[in-house]
Order: sequence, then structure tokens, then C-alpha cells
Amino acid sequence: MEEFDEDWSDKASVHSRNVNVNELSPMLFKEEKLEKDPRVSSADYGTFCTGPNILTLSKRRDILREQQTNFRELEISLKKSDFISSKFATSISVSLRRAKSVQKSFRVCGESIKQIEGQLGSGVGTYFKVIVWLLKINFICMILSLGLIVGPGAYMHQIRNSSLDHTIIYNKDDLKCTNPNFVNGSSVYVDAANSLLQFFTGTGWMEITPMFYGWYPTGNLTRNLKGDEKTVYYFSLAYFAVGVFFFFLALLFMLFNLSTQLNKSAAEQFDSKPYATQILTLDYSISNIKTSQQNSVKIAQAMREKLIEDAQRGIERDLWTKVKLFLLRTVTNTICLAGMVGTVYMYVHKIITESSEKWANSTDSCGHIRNEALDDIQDKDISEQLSTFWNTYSASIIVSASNVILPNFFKQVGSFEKYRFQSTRVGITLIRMFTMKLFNIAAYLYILLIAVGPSAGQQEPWQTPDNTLFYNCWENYIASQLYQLLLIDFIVFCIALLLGEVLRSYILARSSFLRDRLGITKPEFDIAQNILDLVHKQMIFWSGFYFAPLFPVLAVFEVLSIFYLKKASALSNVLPPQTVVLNHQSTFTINCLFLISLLVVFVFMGLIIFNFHPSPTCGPFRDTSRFTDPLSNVIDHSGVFKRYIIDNIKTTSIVVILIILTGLVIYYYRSLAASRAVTVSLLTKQVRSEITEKQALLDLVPGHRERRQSRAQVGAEGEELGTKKLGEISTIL
Amino acid sequence: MGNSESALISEKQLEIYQLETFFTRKEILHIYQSFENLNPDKVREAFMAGNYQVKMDYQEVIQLAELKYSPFKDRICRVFSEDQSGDMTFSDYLDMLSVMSMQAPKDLKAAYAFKIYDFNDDDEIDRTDLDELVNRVTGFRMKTEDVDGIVDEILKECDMDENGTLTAAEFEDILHKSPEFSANFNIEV
Repeated sequence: MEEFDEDWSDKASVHSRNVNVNELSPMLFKEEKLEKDPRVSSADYGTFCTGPNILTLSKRRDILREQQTNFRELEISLKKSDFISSKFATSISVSLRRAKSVQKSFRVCGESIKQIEGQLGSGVGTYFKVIVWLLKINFICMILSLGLIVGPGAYMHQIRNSSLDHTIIYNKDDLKCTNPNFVNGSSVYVDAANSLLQFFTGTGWMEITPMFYGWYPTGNLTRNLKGDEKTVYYFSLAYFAVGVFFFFLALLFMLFNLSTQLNKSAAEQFDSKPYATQILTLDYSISNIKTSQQNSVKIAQAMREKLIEDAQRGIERDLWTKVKLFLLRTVTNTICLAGMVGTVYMYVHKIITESSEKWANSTDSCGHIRNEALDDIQDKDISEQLSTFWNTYSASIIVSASNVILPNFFKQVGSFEKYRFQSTRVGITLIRMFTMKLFNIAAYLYILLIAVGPSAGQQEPWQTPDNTLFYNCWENYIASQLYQLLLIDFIVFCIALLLGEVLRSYILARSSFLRDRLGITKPEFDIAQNILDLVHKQMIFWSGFYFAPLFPVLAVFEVLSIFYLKKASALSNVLPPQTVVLNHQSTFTINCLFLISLLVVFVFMGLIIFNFHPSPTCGPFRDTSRFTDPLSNVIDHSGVFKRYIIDNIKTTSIVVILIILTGLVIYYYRSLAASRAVTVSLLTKQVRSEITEKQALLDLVPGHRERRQSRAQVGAEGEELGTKKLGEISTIL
Repeated sequence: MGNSESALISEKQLEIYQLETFFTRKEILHIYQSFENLNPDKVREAFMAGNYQVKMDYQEVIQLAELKYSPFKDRICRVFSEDQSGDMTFSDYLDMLSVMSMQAPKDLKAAYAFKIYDFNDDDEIDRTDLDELVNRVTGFRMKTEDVDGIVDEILKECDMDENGTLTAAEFEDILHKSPEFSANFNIEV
């Protein structure tokens, strides 16, 4: 057994003779500041640089030149076949680079977004990037719709109208949905004013345009090829495919996007570093002095609030305060819920009362005013005309107006609730706003289904024959209601923008009293509210797409208009947002919102396609009993799928299975994220224990322990001062 | 715009810049345009004479819109200039914008961010660096005790070896967990 050597500390010393510096870890080397030790050569030290190894552009160029020279020399020595392969690989790489540069040149609205980010920060830029993303989706939808539905539909119209048997695609009387002039088969509109009105309501002459379902022909496009009548285009199938498969593609795309972000976001949630993230991720894109100053003010404020919140976390409220807050929040939540339910009740009541006797006497089969009644109304005074106007558009106006009024109401209510943390208050307000918008649209769609139920083969028990509304072309009715909602929503959006931002900014610029005395400022750009607005509009597009093939064209125009109107207003009439919105949270949340809204529309479309019967008098499915019949026919003939698979897909058991599968996928990713968090925590512990071990070894080095203790002393004093101040803050609170 | 700039920079040089940076040909020419706008006469004369190493002074470089109001403009220019003086050649300028573009990988951005925030250039971010960092980010609006509190919290969150400093590895670890870093550490061309 080896005797214990009492000079072990000296032997262990780094300063002892014949130490091989290559065996030392970089950290140890640095700890000891051995670079100053004359016994160690600078050449050895140079390998222990602990900073990031960065090469400047000129150094990289030198290396690249050397690599290219070496590569050329190597190429010369290659065999011919290898030389050709090498050249081929190089040309592919060059082509890919060029293709990438071409793809970049198609970046939509890049300059505008840069300008906005420079002025208002990258958070606001995120909103505009979402608009561009929606524009791309709607553009793809538009191309599919125009290419596969509208174009062939128009071609088939032209052929059939010019054919010898003069087959008419639709009987105008069959539509009979809105303008009573169709009953007489006379001219399409009464006068220019009514014509314009019909443009905004999607009724009358609008119903025989390619905008709506009823215009489209049934059957297939056939050609006489070598004496046989061959089908060259399955129009009904194309209509079904574009309408349904686009939703599936959008859904799959969003699920995939969301799953990757859930993976990242959940992992970060378990290991969040709020202070470091806030300080180290400064927005470098700002190019405006006011925005830059406001940004620093915003971060300073957020940091102060965070320090206060953290000081408050350890403080428990007393029982009486908790009870008071509970009662207060119950009241505020009840008020908000009442606001949402009240809004829905108003327009549901309006649509349902269309079936009342009074209304039925003056309306035609589509619930719109008969010609005679219209004449009577035109003789009445303004107040009654306004009343008629209100009766016609009330549902759309209520939905659109509530989207503007209720969010501001929720924000005010939220300020009374006395949440400790601003993030909690903001989160709850957002949940209320999203629930309100979703509830509005979901209820609107459900009511439309009830209204057209009897026409589509669905009997509702409470609808008596007297009150039943029977639409000859119920698909057009749904499409026209959604079209109305779309237009009214856009008009309300423009009015809100004009009054809320442009006019307010104009008045403030000219009134120092309002600015200086009352302290009123320009409105702040509320990123979350604006994004919810986009979600709402997109839901309307998706809902109406199946029954209005030109909706995507409207969608593209509307989204572009929103982009430029919002941009113009944002650059001159608003202030940057005061609350800090972190991009990764926004991206994940935005994807969630769009996915949920798409799922709601999916359910609506599913109910219609699998349960409702198409109108026998209009549209491409008039000769079928189900919307899925064209697909079923093709599958039956192809013999690829068995009938029972298709039948089972329509049942609720499949929906249940899909929901369970989705839940399992989400659970899987959540578990994965949690397991990674545990791994990170264990690795951190491992690193810390290794460091402790290292410190213990270093303490064997003479002088090192004293140096470490003096550094620790300085750090502890600073920490004590910081802790003392946090304690003072909590005492004040 | 395209033709006059491309005449001043040879095709071969453009090809090399494309390989070395994350930009396309069009973007490099656009960047050249912005570089020239800092001092048109000086740059044009130099490039026409084939001198691509012409330097812009620090005061000229910070006229770039995104740098002008940045609290770290001095550090950015110092880190990206080859001689650490803050004066930049076109290569340095291109390098800066390349690293701070959306296409640059996070690791590269993190490495340069580390260099920028290492105010005393000692290859680690210590309390002094963090004090300076917090003060600059908040526009020197916070009290000393608040700044100390924030620095303590940052060190608690990020200093794994508890030695009071952040090494490059610890720094990169924080930024890897912040997806918004890539979007924010960004100057659009």
C-alpha cells in the first residue's frame, strides 16, 4: 500500500514542475489565469479560448478561397465519372440557390412590414405577417375555386345555353328566394337603388351570379369522342372536392404547425426564464426614435412590475380580501357572460321571429319583404324605412357591432377585477374576447341551420306548418346571409378604424386641451384584439366558401384592403403597444385560435354535408340526394374502397375516434415536453454537482480558495443589497 | 438601380458574397446601395477604382436607420469591424447584416450577441456587463437597486455554475429557449 504523501497539495498544484497543460480543462486554465504564467507558452494558451469562435467575413473568405483552390486541384485528379458527378452536384446547388433567390423576390408586402416593424416594433409586425399568411391561404383557395369551379361552371353554362335543346341550367322561378320579381319572370331588378341594395344583401340579381351556389350547373362536362359521349370533367365531384378537401388540407396544415409549436412552447413553459428573456431579446428592428424610447420605457416598466409581482408571490392575502375579490370577480364574469349571451339572443330572436305571423305576411318564402310590402314601405316615413332596414340587416349589424363594442367593455371590466399580475388580466380579457367572437359565429351558423332545416329535409319539432320557412334554394339563403355578414363586418371595421383611430388622432392633433389637460393620447395598437378580429373574419370566409365559390376572391380583396388600411393608420394614428407581447407566445396562440375556429366551421360543414339534402331546384347537386353522392359514385365505380368504410366515415364514432386520437397526440407532446424538462433539470443538477466537485479540486490549489472567497464576498454583498430592496418593496405593498 | 451597382461589384465578387452570406444577389446589391448612401462619393470612387476595402467611419455607419437609435450601436459596430475600431468596410457591413438577417442560424446570432453584450471583452458576461446591459435596455431609467435585483434574477436563471458570470455556453442555452430572439435580433434588408 502506498504511503500517504504529506506533500500531496504541492504535488497537486498546477504550478508544480512538468505539468502538461493540455491535460487541463479550459475553465481551470482560466481560473488560474495561467495565461500570465511565464512557464506556459502563448501557443498553448491560444487553444484555450473560451469565448465563441467567430470568423469575420474576410477570414471566412480566405478560408473559402483556400478550400476552392484545394477543391479545384482535387477535381483535376478525379476520374471522369466522378468529375461529372461533382459538376452535376455543384450545378444543382447553384440552381437551388437561384431558385431560393427567385422565391424570395416574391415575398409579399416585405417593404411595408419592414416599415411597420421599424416604427412600431416586431410585435406589431407579427400582426401584419399573419395578414400576409392569411392572404396566401385565401389566394390558394381562390385559385382552386376559380380554376376548378367557377371557370368550368361558366364554360358549362355557355355550352348549355348555346345548345340546340336550349336547356336552361336553372329556372329563375325555382330560386324564388328573394326578389319577388323573379316570380313574374320579369326584369331582374326594379330600379338602381334596389339593385344596389340587392348587391349588399346578396339577394335578387346577385343570386344568379357565379357568387352563389344556385348559379352552378349540375352534371358533368361531356364530349363526343369517337362517337361516344365521354365525361371529361366531373363538375359535381370537383365542386365537392374543392369545398371539402381544402378544409382537410387547411386542418392538417394547422395541426402539423401547432404540434411542432406545442412541442417547443411546452418545453419552454417548463423552463422559462422571464428576466433573461426580456432583457436579452431586445428588438433590433426599430428605426424610429420615439418607438425606441417607448420600447425602453415599456421594458423598464415591465421589469419593475415583474420585480413587484415576484415580491408579492410570497404574500398571502387575508380571508376577507379573498372573499371580496371572489364576489367581485363573480359579478364581473356574470356581466361579461350576460353581454355575450345577450348579443346572441338579440340576433337569434330576430331570425326566429321571422317565422312569426306578422313577419310571414309581409315576407316571401325566403323571409324577405314582398314587393307589395316594399311598395307600402316606400310610402312610409323615414323612421319606418329605417325600421325595415334594421329588420333586414339586424343580425349582421349586431354580430359586427358586438365585435367592436364588447372587447372594449371587457377591457374596462378587467381593470376592476384587481388581478395581481398584469399577465393574468390580459390573458382573461383575451379569453373573453375570443369566446365572444367564437360564440357569435357558432350561434349564427347554428341558427342558419335551424332556419333552413325544413327545406333541407330536416324537421324541427317546434316549427309548425304556419311558421315554417321553406326555401327553394336554401344553400343560396345561407350564402347570402354569410355574404351580408361579410360586407357589414367590413363596413363596421372601416367605420371603427375611421372613428377610433383616424378621427381621434386628427382631433388630438388639433386640441392641446385634450392632449395636455385631459391626458388623452392616440390609441394603442392592440395586437391581440386585431388578431382576434382576423380570426373572426376568416371564420366567416371559411363558413361561406362551400356555398359561395367566389368568396375567396372577396376574401383576398378584403384581406389586402385590411392590410393597407391598417398599415396607413398604424403608421400615423396609433402608438406602439405598451404591454410586452412575446413572439413565441403569439405564434402558438394565434395558431390555436385559427385551429379552433376552423374546427367550428368544420363541424358546421360536416353537419350540412352529411345530414342535409341538397335543393332539388338549384346548384350542382340538385340531381342527387346527398352532397357526397358524386364521391360515392366514383368510389363505387373505382372499386378501391368498400362501401362500409364510406358509410362508417359518416358516423359519429369516427368523430369520437378522431377526437381521442387528437387528445392522445396532444398528451404525447405534452408528456414529451415534461420529460424534457425533467431531463434538463437532471442535467442541470449534474452540471452543478460536477462544478462543485471541480471547485473542491481547485481548492486544493494554494491560493485559489482565498481568491474564490473574496470574489464570493463581493457577489454576496450585491445580492444582499438586492434582496434588501425587494423586501422593502414588499413591505411598502 | 440594379445595373449601376452590379457594374461596381464584379459578378465573381457577387457570387462569393452569396456563398459567404445568407443573401441573394439582389439583396447584396440592395445592401450595397444602403452602404453607398452613407457616403456616396467616397464609396463610389473607391469601388470604381476596385478598392473594396474602403472604410466607413463609425459616425457614418450609425446613420443606418436601425442602428441610429439602438442602445448597442457602438458595440455592434465594434464587434463587426475587423479592427474593432467601429469603422467598417463593405465586407464588415455585409457580415453584420447577414448575421442579423432572418436566415442566419440561431447559433451564429447567439455567438455575436454574446460578443456584443460582453462590454469588457473578457469572453464572459459578468455583473458589470449585466449592469450595463440592463441600463442600456431600459434607457438608464431604473434605480440602481432595481438594476441589481434584475441582474441577480438573471444570474439565478442562467448562471449554472454559480460563479457570478455567464459563459458563452450558458448564454447560448438561454437564447435557445427564447424563440423570439431570432425574430428580434434582426435587421431587415
